[in-house]
Amino acid sequence: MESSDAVSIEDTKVITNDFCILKDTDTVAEALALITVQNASEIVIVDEDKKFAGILTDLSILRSLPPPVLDVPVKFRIKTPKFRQQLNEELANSLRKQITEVFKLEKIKPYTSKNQRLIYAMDKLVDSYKSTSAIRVLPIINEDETVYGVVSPESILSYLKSNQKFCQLKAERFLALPEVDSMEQPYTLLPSDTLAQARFAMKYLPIKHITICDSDGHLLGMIDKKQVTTLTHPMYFSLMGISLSKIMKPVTKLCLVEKSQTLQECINAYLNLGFKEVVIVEQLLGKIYPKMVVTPIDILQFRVQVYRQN
Amino acid sequence: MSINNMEARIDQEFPELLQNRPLRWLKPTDTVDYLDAMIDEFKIRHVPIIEPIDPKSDEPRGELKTVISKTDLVKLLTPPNELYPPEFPLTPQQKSQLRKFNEEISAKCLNEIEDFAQLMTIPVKTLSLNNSKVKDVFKDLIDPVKPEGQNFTRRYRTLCVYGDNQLIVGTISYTDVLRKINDPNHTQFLRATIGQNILFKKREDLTVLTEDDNLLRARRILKENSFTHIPITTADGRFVTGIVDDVIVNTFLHDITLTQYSKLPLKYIMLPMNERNSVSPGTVTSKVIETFVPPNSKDRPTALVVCTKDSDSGKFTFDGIISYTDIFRGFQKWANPQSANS
Repeated sequence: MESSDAVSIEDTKVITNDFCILKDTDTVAEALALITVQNASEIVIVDEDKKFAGILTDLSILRSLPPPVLDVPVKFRIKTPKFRQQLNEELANSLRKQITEVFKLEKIKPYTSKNQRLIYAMDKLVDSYKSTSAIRVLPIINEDETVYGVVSPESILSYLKSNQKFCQLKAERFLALPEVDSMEQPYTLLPSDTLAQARFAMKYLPIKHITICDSDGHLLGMIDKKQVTTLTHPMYFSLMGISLSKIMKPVTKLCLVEKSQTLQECINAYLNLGFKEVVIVEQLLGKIYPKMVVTPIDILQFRVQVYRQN
Repeated sequence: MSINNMEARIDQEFPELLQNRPLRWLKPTDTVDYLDAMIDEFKIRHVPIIEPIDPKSDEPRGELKTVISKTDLVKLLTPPNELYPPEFPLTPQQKSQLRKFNEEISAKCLNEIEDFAQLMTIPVKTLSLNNSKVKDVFKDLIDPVKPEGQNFTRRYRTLCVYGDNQLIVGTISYTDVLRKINDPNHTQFLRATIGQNILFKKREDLTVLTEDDNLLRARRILKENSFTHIPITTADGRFVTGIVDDVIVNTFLHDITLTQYSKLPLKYIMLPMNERNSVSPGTVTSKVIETFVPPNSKDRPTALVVCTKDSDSGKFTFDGIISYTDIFRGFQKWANPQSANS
């Protein structure tokens, strides 16, 4: 057992005040500004007494709005003035609404004790991420229910990066984890497969990333749930037929970590390069084969398991 | 114009059918992932499947093969990922089966799915723009059909309307009819409470389950009866706490998840009582219709729990259930008492 993970979350300084917060009476426009300008994944929502009211995710906001025009391939953009006007009106109308009018806030159970051990907080964070609609932060509240701060995967990783023993573990260790069952192996589609197929897979399976490979399994790109959610809107239903090659992030824009490299590489990619996921790959004869998509949450899950094994 | 004239032609009472409104439809060769996306994104519960005369045309002109409902679709598919109750995790084997099933099913054509192909062999209830009357709309939306040679009944909540030369010009759904009923011309009917209009089914005539009853029991009851909703009460039966319908029950009982969820207590999946799925016996009929078709929401319940708030406990005592067909029958009776009596 490593004592570093048994210290309290307060002592490890993983609780951060660097998070986005809005009142439940604020508008959808304000929430949208935070997720686009600040690239926030979650917004903490408080009521008029500043008490914790819930969490709003970027996916909920994006799901309620039409996609930004620049994200839509030119051929599929709405060109008819009548429909453009309809879209503009709908957008303006949605943006003016109060957050509580539009969204059912995720009822994540906030965390009250700053004295709980870090390992316990990590476990809670992973659990809550897997059992809710992908909330990646753990809100910490005061006794009067106001928000003290949040624990994010990145803040924990900043703490964990000093643990050399852990960071020097090979990335391929992920592939041998008992929890990494068939559901969490990379879900792969062909570049000619469609947005409808990607949407379907992400709705019915616990996957947030789809690797796009050719018929021999060579990695060509990736698409994530945020992209799929952004492009899914009734006024752009024709996009359902678009091939994934037109919307995927190409392999050159992905962070690839060879399976023999260390976790340090993954952590650096999240903390220093701003990636939200890395693809663990195996390279053979100049071809790249995806093995797993790893997010900061996966690193925390791995950390919890290593802790338990010891 | 008023929908209370049962002999009027539908092109007079539903002029929107003449306005070339877009129809959400698919071909038998379209795929399951498209059907699923269409139902979700447009928040619709029925999709007409049309074999077009000209396969290259986007015009819905051709043979209506069937109308696939959300219930038909959820029977085929596994539950959406976000609905799995974390208290009842799947086994690794089930997870593996789930992945394989979803990988295979998403790109299958609708006419390759056995259940859908069977539906396409059953004659579909349709209306004709030039010949059908308002009374046909009511009849077809109220009466479930037992297809010849089949052991199930099928309820149509959306009817496709044929115009000339096999062009399907639109649909009439129960929500369209409810909105037409909620018209100032029918004030007398609308101002009466549902208790006065004797519209809802009383609790003593209903099948009720408790929160601790399981999913399999709910499915068996729904399968053996023509109703689609079951109110859920506390274990002692004193208070009503929620409702389950055919969509939510069938969502969880896929072959892969059957062993896991057949014993799942209904409290884990029921829709809890709230102002969007309940009314009281004293609620006026117009307000009840607004609860069925709320103006600012895409919620479209097909039945509402009738209940009374207990002032001491804040809980709800159960009075009965009201479906859109109850409103339709009541309206027909009000609009044409002689016909109803005969």
